[in-house]
Amino acid sequence: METNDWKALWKSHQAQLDQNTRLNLMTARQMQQQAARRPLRALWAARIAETLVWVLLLAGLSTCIATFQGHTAPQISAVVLSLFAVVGISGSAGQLILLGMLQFDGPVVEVQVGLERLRKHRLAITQLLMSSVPFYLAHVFFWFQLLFGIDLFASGDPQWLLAQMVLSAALLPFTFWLIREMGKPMPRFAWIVGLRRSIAGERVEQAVRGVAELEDFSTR
Amino acid sequence: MPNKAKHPAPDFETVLQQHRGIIFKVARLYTRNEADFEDLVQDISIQIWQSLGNYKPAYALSTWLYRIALNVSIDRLRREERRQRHQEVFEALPHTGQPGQPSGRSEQLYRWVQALPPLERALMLLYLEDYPHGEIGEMLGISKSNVGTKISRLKQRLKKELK
Repeated sequence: METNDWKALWKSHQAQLDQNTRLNLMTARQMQQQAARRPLRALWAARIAETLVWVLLLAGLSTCIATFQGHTAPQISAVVLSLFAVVGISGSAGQLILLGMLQFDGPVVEVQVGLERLRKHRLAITQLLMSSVPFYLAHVFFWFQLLFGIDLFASGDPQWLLAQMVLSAALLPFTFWLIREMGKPMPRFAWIVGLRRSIAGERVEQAVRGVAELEDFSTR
Repeated sequence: MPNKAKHPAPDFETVLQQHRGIIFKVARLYTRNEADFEDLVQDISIQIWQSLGNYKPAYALSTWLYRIALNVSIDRLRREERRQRHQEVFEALPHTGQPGQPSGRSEQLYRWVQALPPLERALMLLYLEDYPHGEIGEMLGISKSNVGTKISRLKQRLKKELK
């Protein structure tokens, strides 16, 4: 069959299907009642909640920075953790801006890539949390001061502290390599895919592959 | 050739009444049963209603509607059926989802298009609806030459698979 025959066949089929379709479309008034069914409503709710959590965390850490006067290590630790909270806030706020800018009347590939990027946001959160792993001492110092009132840096064994610092420094390159690999659609090792799936979830894993597929579609 | 006349943004109900064909066509192609079809038509209508303020008369209304309908449908499909692959769907499809539908050669063609992955499906729909490559590229956000290459590949597959 030639192209024009396929097109003619398609049109006649569509005409017949149209004849069989008995569906009343909504009126503007019904639409106003249905407007709550926004397709991106869940994403909006999740990002707003996430931003609020980060803001609350930053507020708590700021209070601690002010209260930990005289305890340098816990105070610096709170500052370090605050920096992560600031990055978290900017990430979530950026997502809200992206959501606000996303228009469904844009070119299909562009809109779908935007949607998949919004859906894989949990990966960015995971990467951010993972990047705090080499700074685990900040967590240790901070929580010991907050929960038990102990400045571990001032009262801890110097050899133990040195060992922890060496471990932190050793974790730094590995963690950043892992974070970079986790951001790739096809990481070099299968266990990284497994780790990504188990931490960020199957949906994020699909979104990561979805972005790659869409980009592939627009270029090949 | 589709009507490419440019219009200022008309009111919602006029858009829906005059262009319901586009909404039905896209929704039918991306669903496989009556309930999903009705749901998708509703989702597309809501999105049109919400986007109407953004409509720019520089675009043909039909182009604008196709973009919205395809974006809503593909997003829904990617969320719900992203694991299904072409062959699985093609073999599993019992019908095109609507009662009293036609059968035979045109039905085969319809099923073939419906079983394509979401973006290829959009491409083939617009091609069979006689849109020029440049306009298909604008709707999908890919280059005109890329549209040509993909359509040529799809036509080869169509010829081979629907001999």
